[in-house]
Amino acid sequence: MDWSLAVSIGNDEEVLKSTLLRSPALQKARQVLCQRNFASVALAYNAAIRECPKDVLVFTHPDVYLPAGWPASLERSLDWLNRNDPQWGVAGLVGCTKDGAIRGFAFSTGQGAFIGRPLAAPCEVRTLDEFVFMLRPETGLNFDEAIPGPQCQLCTTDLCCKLRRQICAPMPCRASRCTTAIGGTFCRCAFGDLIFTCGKNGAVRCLFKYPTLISRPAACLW
Amino acid sequence: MVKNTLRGFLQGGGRSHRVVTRVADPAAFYEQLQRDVLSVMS
Repeated sequence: MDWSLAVSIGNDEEVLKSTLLRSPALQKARQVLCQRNFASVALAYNAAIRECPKDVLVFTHPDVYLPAGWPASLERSLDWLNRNDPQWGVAGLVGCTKDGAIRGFAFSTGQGAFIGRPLAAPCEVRTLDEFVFMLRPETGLNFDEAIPGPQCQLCTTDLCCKLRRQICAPMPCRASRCTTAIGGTFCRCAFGDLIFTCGKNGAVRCLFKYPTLISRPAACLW
Repeated sequence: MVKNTLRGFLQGGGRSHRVVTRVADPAAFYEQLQRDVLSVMS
């Protein structure tokens, strides 16, 4: 399955050049869309969906590095999803269950530590962090353009809340080598998975937008 | 939940938690992770 990558760029052109655009994994993407001059990340991402309506779209932040083995891991995960849950909507590298437990695996340069642990197979989560996530094109989903800001951390959580059924598809370990992405600063999560995945501003908005879905606090992450 | 979230929002001054981070050479950094950590986990 073809995949393309989209990144929304605010004032982080330098980090884009020094990190994401140096990722060897990008050579396997059908297209790399660097979305500039959009008023919000939601507008930038929706434009990418219109430009690549048939591809799995991978959305990343500019400070993410995707190593050479990542496309093969992505392909395995997509194969798994298409076999086991062909109606999947959104997948990502790191997410939270409804109990606030982290699922997935990545290295956070902000924390200087790994987040989570490698999974043998994708698993269901409630929300996904948006540093790296994918959208299946046939879902017809798009981003809420009322969400402001060039990087407000709510877009993915908003999609997850819409779907209510999400798959977290971290890159599974291969027999001889483990691949992951690096990048991002993850939240010191004092109030559960919402804060982890969409930040404080996003959590407040989400709280009012989906009051029935978000009905319980979750455990601290670290 | 509402009280806690609002308290955190106010304490944080409304800032997003996300900070753009960078390492000088991400390729070299990843290779080091691969050698020191990831290869052991596989």
